[in-house]
Amino acid sequence: MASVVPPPSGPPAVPRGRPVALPVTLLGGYLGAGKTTLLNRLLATTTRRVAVVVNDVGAIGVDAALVADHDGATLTLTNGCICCSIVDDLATTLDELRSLTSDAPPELVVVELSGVGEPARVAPHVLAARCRLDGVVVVADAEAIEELAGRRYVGDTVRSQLAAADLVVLSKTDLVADGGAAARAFVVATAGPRGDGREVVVVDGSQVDPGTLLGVTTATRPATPARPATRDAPGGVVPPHVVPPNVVPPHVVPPHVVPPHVVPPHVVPPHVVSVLDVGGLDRAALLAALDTLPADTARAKGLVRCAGEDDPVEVHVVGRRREVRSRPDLAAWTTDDRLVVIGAPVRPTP
Amino acid sequence: MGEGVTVFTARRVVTLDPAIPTCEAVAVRDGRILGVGTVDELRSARGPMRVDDRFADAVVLPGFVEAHSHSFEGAIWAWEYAGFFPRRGPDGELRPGCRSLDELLALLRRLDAELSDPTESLMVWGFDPIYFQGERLAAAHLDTVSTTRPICVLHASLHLVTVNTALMVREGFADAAPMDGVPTDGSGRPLGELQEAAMSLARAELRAVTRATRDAAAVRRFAEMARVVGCTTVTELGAAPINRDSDVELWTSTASAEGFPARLVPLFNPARGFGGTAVEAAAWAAELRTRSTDKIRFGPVKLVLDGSIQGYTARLNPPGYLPLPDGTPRGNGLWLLPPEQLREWFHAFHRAHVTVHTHVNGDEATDLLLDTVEEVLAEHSWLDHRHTAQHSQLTTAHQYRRMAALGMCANIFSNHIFHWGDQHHDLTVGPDRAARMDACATADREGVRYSVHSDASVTPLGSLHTMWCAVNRVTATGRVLGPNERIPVDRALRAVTIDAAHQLRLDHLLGSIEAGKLADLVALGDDPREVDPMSIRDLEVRGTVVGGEPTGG
Ligand SMILES: [Zn+2]
Repeated sequence: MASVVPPPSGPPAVPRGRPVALPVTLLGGYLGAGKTTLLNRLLATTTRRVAVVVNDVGAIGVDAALVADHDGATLTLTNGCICCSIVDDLATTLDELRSLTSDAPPELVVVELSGVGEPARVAPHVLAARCRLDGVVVVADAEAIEELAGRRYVGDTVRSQLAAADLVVLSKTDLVADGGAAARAFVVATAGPRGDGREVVVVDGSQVDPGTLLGVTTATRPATPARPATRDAPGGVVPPHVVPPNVVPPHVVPPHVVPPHVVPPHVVPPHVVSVLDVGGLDRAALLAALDTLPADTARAKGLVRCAGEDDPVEVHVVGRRREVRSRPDLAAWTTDDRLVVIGAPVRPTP
Repeated sequence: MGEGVTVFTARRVVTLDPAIPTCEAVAVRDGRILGVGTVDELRSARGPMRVDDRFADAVVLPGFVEAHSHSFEGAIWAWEYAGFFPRRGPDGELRPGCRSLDELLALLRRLDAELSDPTESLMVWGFDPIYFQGERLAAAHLDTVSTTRPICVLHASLHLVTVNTALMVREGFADAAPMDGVPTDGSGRPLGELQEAAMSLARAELRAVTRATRDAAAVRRFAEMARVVGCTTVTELGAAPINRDSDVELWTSTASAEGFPARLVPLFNPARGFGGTAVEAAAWAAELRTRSTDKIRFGPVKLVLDGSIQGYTARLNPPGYLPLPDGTPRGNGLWLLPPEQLREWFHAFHRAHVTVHTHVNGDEATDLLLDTVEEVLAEHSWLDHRHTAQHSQLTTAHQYRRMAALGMCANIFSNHIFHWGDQHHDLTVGPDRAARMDACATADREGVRYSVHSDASVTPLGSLHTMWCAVNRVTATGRVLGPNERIPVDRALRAVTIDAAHQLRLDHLLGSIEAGKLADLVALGDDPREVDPMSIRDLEVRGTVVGGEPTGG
């Protein structure tokens, strides 16, 4: 038989024309935990292009008006199960999303799983669609999580959701007397250690900017040209530190970057929220700056300019995942020179 | 059709009506059965009639009713079959199957030569190498067929595809595996196998399969397939979306064609993208009933609770699945609906008097279904609900007793015994629970009315084959799995006719040969009750009659 294509050997071929992988955040949590509320809050506040894939089982849907107002796209998974259909709906849906938005790809795709969706089982389908798994966020109802995790039929499902989370958002903390402290301890114990031995990061959903949790910052910012470094910290890094209750130091956390409600007095438990100033750094310095982040950093993300580069650079940290990449496709977007970093819960210093 | 009366004569008519179990002839008028008896009896009662003796040599039964199948069976025949066992296609032609790697490659070469566009991809399905000796299929084999045309071989297990290098190059992963489920050689190059979620890497091919299910041609082929195997009514059990007028139109307009060869019962499944509230879903289900036509019968709805046993995704009660070969315990399967959502939908459908068919493979899923039915019955009394446990594969005797008390039906996946029985025996649940899987005899003992099914295209469509599985319980390797759950042939016949029609709420029209019912018949080469039970599946299907009209010309 005549061979037209060279035999499979030699240097690896560069994939031709493959688009930049879409980043996908899986948003899980049991029915009623508050996934949709969180998503709606995100959609109501963000000005970035967020595409939402909802697992439309029954009436529990994302607020249609919010989605309609919004710049991004919403697609519906047509199957309650995205794990066992012969032809995988999620991969197909993400594929469709990619072709629908090829001229202006979303900054982030959020896939809202069904109440019994298990992120660990869904994640491979994200990769199969040649998307990038951006993180797994699981919403847990502070009032109900312990009871749910022990309930007949669904207890193991709820526990598996927690075990797969990069980040757990506690909802309804205002309904429990201790502000969610017991629920938090339960979630940490039930989720078990992450792959690297660290405990799972749990944040109070009512207090934290949903955009930050899902990897998109919410404020509109003017494009900031690269400027020379004028910083007091070595290497241009403001060391991560605990933002004290009630006081949001304006020079570190400007209100338009992190809304003041991010770190309220009664946040449970207090998290290290800090800002990494990367304005004007070149790529090597940026990488060095990221290296100074504590190992237990939960989330950091931003689109920044690096000195000496024409295209904006996307910085992306979820748990242990760290990525820094040029985004020529986002050249027209506004960039920032600070990264908001959510760290681990504050532990009492011995 | 019209004013005339036709009488079909037969060697024997097996009516499935216990009052008149057999007769010699069936008279039909205007699509309905006018009467049964001898030709003389019918003439003296009803006057002159035209004799149709095409089945004079055959045994005529009520047309088979397949109460759990999917139109995917029609869609997939857009591509060629490459399975191990011989299989008849919608054109009636028998495919010999591929019993070795060489036979697969020969088939692919033939199909490759038929395609003119060198970039058009080539796909075959049903490949089943578990009985092959020697090498495992890899891209290197497929590359001997073509190095330019993407090739995709869909395996029978539906959990695996094998692709060639051209396809991997097209998708940009020929040199490195982009994810788990893509085995590689020593140097890190993918071998061509894409497992589970990684199957979607063959994106164009799998999308084509998805799209094909929404195609009128697939609906037509599905009905042709039914005709070939003797089914006059087949279900589309909730896999295809039926959410809006255009979905309804696909079915009704396709089936309105002259001589459309089967009746189809598409079940609405609100999880397939309906999007409204439970009450809206129930209202739509009720509305669908009014959209029924002669050949398309809407009515019951479908919900899916768990996954599959062979995929380890069915929900099992303790002691659960067998551990992995190295002793590691296996986790439980997965839920497809939260119990609260099941309850909400079930309540709404039950109140609207819509029969609900619920996919429950594992016994834990069955428990949840029974709890839910008990709850809705306590809240709203509807005695003749016919809510049905679909697959019901691990349902136990005590669950069948509860089902009997709750007035429920079952549709038992008997084909599993042949197609996966050995795997269940060795790998999934072990010899004891495999022996009481798909427990038709237990359902009989405990008083639950049931049907048996193929779940086509998960296993091939064909009620004779399904009867054969329920009667013999022989696995692919010839082992009799659970002899105490075998059922007699006449019981199995009921399961693929009148009792199947019952759970679809069509037993007043279908499932037996009685005056007044729709004239849907199947003609067989012999009486299944009189042949060796092991040869039931080899009985010849001579033809079918739908609404008094012989199908297929
Ligand atoms: Zn099915």
